[in-house]
Amino acid sequence: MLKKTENQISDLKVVGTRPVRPDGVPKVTGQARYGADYSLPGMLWGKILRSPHAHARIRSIDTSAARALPGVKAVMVGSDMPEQSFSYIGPDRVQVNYWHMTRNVMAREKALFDGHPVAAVAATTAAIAEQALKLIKVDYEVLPHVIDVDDAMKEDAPLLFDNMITRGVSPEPTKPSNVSRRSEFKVGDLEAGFALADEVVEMSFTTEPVHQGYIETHGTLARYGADGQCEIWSSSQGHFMVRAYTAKLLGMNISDLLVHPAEIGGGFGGKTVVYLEPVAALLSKKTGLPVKLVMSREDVFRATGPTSGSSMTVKMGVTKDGKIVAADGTFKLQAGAFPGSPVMNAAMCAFSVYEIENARAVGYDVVCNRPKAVAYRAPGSPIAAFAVESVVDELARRIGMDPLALRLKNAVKAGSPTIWGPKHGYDGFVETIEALMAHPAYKIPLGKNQGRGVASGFWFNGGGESAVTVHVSEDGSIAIASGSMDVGGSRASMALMAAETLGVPYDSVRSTVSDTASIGYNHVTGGSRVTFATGMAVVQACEKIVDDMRARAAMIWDVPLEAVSWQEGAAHLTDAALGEKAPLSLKDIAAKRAVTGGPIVAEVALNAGGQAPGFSTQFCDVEVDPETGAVKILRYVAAQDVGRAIHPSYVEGQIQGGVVQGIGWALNETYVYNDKGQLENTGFLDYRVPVASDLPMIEALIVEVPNPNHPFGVKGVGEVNIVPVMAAVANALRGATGVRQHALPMSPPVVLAALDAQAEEVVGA
Amino acid sequence: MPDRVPESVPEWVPKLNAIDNLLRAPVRVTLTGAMPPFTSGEMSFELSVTNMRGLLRALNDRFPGIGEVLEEDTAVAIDGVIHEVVYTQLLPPGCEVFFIPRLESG
Repeated sequence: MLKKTENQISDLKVVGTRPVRPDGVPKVTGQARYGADYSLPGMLWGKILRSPHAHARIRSIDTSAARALPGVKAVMVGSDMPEQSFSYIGPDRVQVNYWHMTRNVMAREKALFDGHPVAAVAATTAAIAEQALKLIKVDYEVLPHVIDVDDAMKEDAPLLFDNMITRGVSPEPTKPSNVSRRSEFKVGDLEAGFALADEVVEMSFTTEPVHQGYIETHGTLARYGADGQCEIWSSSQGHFMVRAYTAKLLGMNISDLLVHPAEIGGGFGGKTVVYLEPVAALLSKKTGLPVKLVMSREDVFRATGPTSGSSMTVKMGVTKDGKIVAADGTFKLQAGAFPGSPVMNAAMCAFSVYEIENARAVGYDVVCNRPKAVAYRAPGSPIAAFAVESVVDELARRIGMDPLALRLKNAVKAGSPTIWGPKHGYDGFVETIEALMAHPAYKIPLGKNQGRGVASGFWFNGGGESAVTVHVSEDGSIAIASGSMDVGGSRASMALMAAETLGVPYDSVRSTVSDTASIGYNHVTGGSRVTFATGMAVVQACEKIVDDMRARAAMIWDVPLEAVSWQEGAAHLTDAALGEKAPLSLKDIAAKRAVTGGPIVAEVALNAGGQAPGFSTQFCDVEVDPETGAVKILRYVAAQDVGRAIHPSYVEGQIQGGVVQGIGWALNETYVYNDKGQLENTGFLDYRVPVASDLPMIEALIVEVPNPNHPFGVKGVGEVNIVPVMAAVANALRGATGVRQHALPMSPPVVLAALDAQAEEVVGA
Repeated sequence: MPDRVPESVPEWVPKLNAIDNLLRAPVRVTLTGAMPPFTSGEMSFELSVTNMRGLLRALNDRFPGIGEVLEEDTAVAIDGVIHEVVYTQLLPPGCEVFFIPRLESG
């Protein structure tokens, strides 16, 4: 699709409106049921014992005293789950190794991070379960630990795995290390490219791991029947994922496990893996009773995945007239306790908004004694963008060019090359830059201690497998069942697209999320894929419904099918020679459901392709307090190409949410480990995410360059908005203070130290 | 990935006669990532195929075992537009096909 995309739809009636969100009332009235809200008669409470050590060999675990405690019904350790073979399965970027996964759920030979589960108890009350945990005796041999990525890559670093040989290196290394994998993407001739540059900037950066910060902690309820059938209720970004992973880890047939989706209180990528579900199911199997497990906030911080921290070096060259001629980046990302950081994404996305003929991106996936990294909004891309977009900002300063103008000059379009092989298939980036250039706030003069920063970002967006069923009820109302968890408003967007396709009011459509036995497989809600892929399935199912309704109308009128059209929610007889008939509404036809053939149902299952990437360009204005180093965000404008906004309020909410999370990543969020490798800030009081009073209104500029491969032009919304944020804030700080920040978070003490160092330099000079 | 071509060609496979095949511009295919073990370093090919099933079969015939890896581990960009690897995906004449690491995200 190497041509400029065009707006194909001009007369939409429902898509693009802002009806009341269907999940709003249940959430604000407390009726919404999250993972922790489910209970069953006779239910037991599960609790998990976690390692107090960052790195320790487990010599033995004595559970006898815990088992003897009255009220305790079962105790389990890691080896109660079947062993898994050691092999990397699936795509390079997200390889799954079940040998690692089962050990992430519960440690076996070693505890690899503070908070690593080592045993679990099921008891009649939560208090008894807690008491039983204290009776479990674990004999640890404490080992040296390593927290940071650069330390973990040193020759003498403590090894998490004695036999880990770096993949992706030829010849294969002979010695083990903490580097799980090396990846490289390259195009052109770097040396020749840098030779063309008038200015070259090379800088190194670090970023901290940050948590997704979802408000709802993980919670699950499992009931394992004597017949070998198991049911699980849990909140996740994909109950089919929960089913597949849990079944694999417990050695079950997938179809013997039924997973019910609970309402989700935020995920942002962090709920695309299992932690509690296999434990609850196994404890239930042992006891014959339902078992419920709910994490505390402390558990979430200590033992669930943040995104990676990083150490990066980026070098870029530009000509005087603003052409970027070469780029080279090295990205080292922490995977946490098991391999699998998003470093390949980081390397692929790093330079993807710019047309650069000579470029290279090298990535290292490095294990260290932290919780296993998990996806977080556009995983990997924001990390790389912090480094790349900071360097681009310096290039603009060196050649005296407006940073938006520099980006516009080098912006990718449909047909531009990428570092990872194919050409870009879509436009959309240029339009985000132009949207900011035309924004009046971009020209507002700044005051003392104030600065303006610009940055851009890229994210692939996703397609993939989805299945939906659309039912027409006898009163003409519509029920949609999908298997895609609603994380960001997909029930509303599905209903809007169905209403538009069928020509019926939005209020007559009810959209639900079905359990794993009631609908076909749906991939996780992630990668900004659901409104695109599941939405495509909904539209196709509604088109089948329209065909069915036309056929039934033709039957009712005794006319050929070709003589019946579907307009505005009703069948019309279009051949005057066949007589005059009043239109038959969807309700009229549904009332004759039985005599025209029975239930009116359409099911579509597909593997959606043709997804278009997301581009975002943003600017922010900051003011720095030179006395404290505190940074205040004065103004934030984020332009994002979304293809088509199905429900603009949700889209704006996604953009605002991504920006706010990025501001937290930029200014405050960090994990504080003590010298024993134990996490010290395990709550939101000490791990500081932004709150409303920290922020101005985030202005979301919706740019619509429709995707021709989706019926309504959808591209995907949920992720690219976080990609530019940290660099935009850093670039604004650079403008306000004259100091380039190389490390996140740019918290007040860090900024103040940089200002003090700058002052000392001035005095020294 | 079966080793042998199925005897009956599915309905959705466009029928081509010999002249069509001669006139049709070949598909330009590029592999990325960890494929060299299969291909001895050869990464770009021109193949006369009309759909993804045919392409996978042609590659697997040339490099036994690669078909399954491509099916399981990659996505595909056809003239820059990313798709999942699905047998029924049609390949326009002369199109540019890149197998790339499959996407997964948050």
